[in-house]
Amino acid sequence: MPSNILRAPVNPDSASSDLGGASSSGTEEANDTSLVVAAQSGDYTAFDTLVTKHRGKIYAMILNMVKNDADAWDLSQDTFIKAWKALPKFENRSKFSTWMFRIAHNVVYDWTRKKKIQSEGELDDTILYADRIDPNAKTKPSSAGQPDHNLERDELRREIEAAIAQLSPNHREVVLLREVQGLDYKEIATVMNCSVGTVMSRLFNARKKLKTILTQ
Amino acid sequence: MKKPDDHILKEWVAGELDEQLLPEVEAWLDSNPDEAEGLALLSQDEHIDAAFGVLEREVDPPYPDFFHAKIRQEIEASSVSFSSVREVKPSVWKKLQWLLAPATAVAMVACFYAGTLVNSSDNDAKKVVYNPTIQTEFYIPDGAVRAEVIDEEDSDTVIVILDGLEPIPDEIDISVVDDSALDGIAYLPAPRI
Repeated sequence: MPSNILRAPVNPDSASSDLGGASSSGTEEANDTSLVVAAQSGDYTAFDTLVTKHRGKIYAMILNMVKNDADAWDLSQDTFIKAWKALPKFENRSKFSTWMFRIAHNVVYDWTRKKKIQSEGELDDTILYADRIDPNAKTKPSSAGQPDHNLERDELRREIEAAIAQLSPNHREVVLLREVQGLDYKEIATVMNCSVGTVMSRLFNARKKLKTILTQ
Repeated sequence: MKKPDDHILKEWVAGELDEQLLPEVEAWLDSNPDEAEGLALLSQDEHIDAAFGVLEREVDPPYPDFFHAKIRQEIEASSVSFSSVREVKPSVWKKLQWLLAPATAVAMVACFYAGTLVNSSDNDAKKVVYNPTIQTEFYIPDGAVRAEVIDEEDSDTVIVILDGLEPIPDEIDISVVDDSALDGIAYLPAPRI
């Protein structure tokens, strides 16, 4: 996987419109169901279409979890490969996107656990997060200049990303699934394999921590 | 389920609730989504909500075509096609699979027999090649050298005698080719028959 990666948002307008009417999401769900049925009967083209539809959400979610483009790229692939393998077991009880987030959750969880075992005693690269670097340091990484109209938005994004990065993995995931991906509590509970009460508890605490971090 | 008292809920809201009491509150939240939603609103904050708004919900992975190609490649490499993953009813071929072992044994015997036939015809061909009746021509640059070919059919050997060649000097080691020692002339070992 090439390491020098540019992040390309996928048509943000269409993404925001997805949050809107229930009818559009219902149609989308129906489309997914028919594609899943076709893929389950061995139609790889249908599966490829599902990959095209969901890769943006899965990649964005994993990227926000692992904070590394190359790892996110590989883990997103693993997620879809595992989805293909598990597709015969998918029974359309939940939305396909929720099921994909569930697989992504497991892939990231396994990867984090393995990485933790492998990197014991190695350099903790979380110390390289932008928010933990002394702004007055001579060796502070410089960021490329941005056009004025994007500067504020980029600054805000960096700020919230840095704050989310400081949360525990469970709090980070619940916040991203709820606030960025727009899943409801029940869907989040399915993805994270916990109760709705736990989801609410985690979300509540995560938001409180974020508030503290962002107001510091 | 009984509603936790206000003191416990206050501690939960403050994020300071004892971990032992947490499952009790979470179970209550589970069964009372409306009240839970009300509590969740307490953590709402305009600044945080605005900050979430700048995060992209979808980010296309770099090199999307390569991304798709790699997925397909990995799936093909792991041989996970639906023909192997999907549960299929046993086919006629599967039902007759018990015939596979004896059929393989018969095929092996047949191949072995065919092999012996081919080998036998090969031997015949060799005999034809070395048949002394076939004229073999030798080009001998020195007219004083006489060539004779003896075909030892029993031992499958052909002997060529070149009579009249100069003896090879002892100082030449024919096991080592040394162009300088040969002085540009290639010698053949003297036939000792």
